[in-house]
Amino acid sequence: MLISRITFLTALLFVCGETASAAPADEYVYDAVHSSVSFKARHLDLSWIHGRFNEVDGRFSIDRQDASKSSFQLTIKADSVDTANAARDEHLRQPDYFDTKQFPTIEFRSKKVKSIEGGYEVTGDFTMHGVTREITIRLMGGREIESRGVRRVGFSTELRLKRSDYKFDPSAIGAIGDEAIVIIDCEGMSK
Amino acid sequence: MPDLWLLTYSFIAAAVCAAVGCIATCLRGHSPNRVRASGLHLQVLCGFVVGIVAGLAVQGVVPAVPPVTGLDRWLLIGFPLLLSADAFGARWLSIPSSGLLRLSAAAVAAPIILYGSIHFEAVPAVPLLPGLTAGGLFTVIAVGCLLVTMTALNDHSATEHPLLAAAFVVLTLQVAAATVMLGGWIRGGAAALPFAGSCTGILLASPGLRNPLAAVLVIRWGVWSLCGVVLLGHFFGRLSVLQSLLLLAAAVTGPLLTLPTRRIAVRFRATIRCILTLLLLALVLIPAILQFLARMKPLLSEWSAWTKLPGS
Repeated sequence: MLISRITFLTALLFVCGETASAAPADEYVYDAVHSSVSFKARHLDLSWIHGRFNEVDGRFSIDRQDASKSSFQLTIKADSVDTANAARDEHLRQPDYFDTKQFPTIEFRSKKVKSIEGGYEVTGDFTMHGVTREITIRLMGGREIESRGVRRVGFSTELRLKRSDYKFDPSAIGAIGDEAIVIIDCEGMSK
Repeated sequence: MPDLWLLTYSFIAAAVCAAVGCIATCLRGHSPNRVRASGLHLQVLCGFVVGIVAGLAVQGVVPAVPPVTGLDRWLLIGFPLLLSADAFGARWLSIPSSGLLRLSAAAVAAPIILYGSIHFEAVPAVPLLPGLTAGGLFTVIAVGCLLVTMTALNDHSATEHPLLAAAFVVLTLQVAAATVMLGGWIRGGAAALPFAGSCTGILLASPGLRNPLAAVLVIRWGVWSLCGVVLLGHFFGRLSVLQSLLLLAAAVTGPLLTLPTRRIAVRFRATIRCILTLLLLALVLIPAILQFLARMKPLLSEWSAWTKLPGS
């Protein structure tokens, strides 16, 4: 009887201890007002054309104790491409480029997160134009502040992608360079 | 901007290869007028396919395997399915049964083109119709009906002025290709040109075949090619509903005229058909060119900037 009580108490203490140490990860949603996903690509190898995606959604889950339990997701609506020229934007939506009717979104889903100095190294699946490739990005930032009752966290990263890796039409790679630099600056909000 | 020389080479390559392939396969065994219609059908089909492959090869179009885009699915599944159904029916089935098989294949081609796109959203939760939304189902049925109607209309009156009808189908196909390109999808429009070239090649070879079947087949395959480029241009490019309907109507002016006005003399019907087809094509092409020029103006702004420089 005594042994069974000791066993029960030990189990209870163990469960309580586990609950106390496993604090749930902080959940954030992408703040579209204070974030941007922009890109630039070479034109005739002379200068850069800049553009951005106006409709982006995302979620982050950040575990401050154990970075490997964190996760990052970002979904970009390809139709929202904006290069400050309506005719060019319309062309970019067509199958010669993003083919937004067939591939409406560009997505990133993290698979592995590692803490590094000043941020996180995130490995995940990046899907664009129907092709999924594993990429690793360095998300710099992660400092959290509270503003008007809302907790905010911010990250920045820059990645280089080759359009040919994502099976873009090779004949559309010429005047506009193959490589595009994507710049992501985002804030996450949490209550 | 499309490479006009490349497009021209692609068209010519398709025409030459189709004509040579057609004549070579027809003359391999017997004289063409001694070959059974089903045999000739398959031989002309060989030439047609050779022409398309050659034209696409000149452009460097290689569909992805497995197909991922609408164009890939059309080139690898949709169009071969239609041609296979046609060939199978001609070889092994009676005329009514082969017609039914063609119509069935036309109905199936619609979901193949739209599969996986925003028009046909896949939600695995629905077991019987995987993810087809009500809108998607409506689109698939509407497009299927359209393809079936186009096939049936052309089957109905393909024997009247077959050469003229075939020439108009080829012209309509070229206008459709140009309109899709002017709308901004260069590769989509360009991919239609080998189909037009191949049809032209068979028409050029048809006197050598001494059989009107070749022109009838060009009408059928040309209309399917046209349906493909119009549907792709509408659902994935910027071809409007009006442009799409005008293009499809231009291809079936003959059958449409035949249906209610059988009493009009055949030669008058041909004249009316010519005028009506050219009018419909002009209604598509001229506004498309004007819209293209208007859209390109801001992109070519560097030229106008010169005139605004002080002292220029």
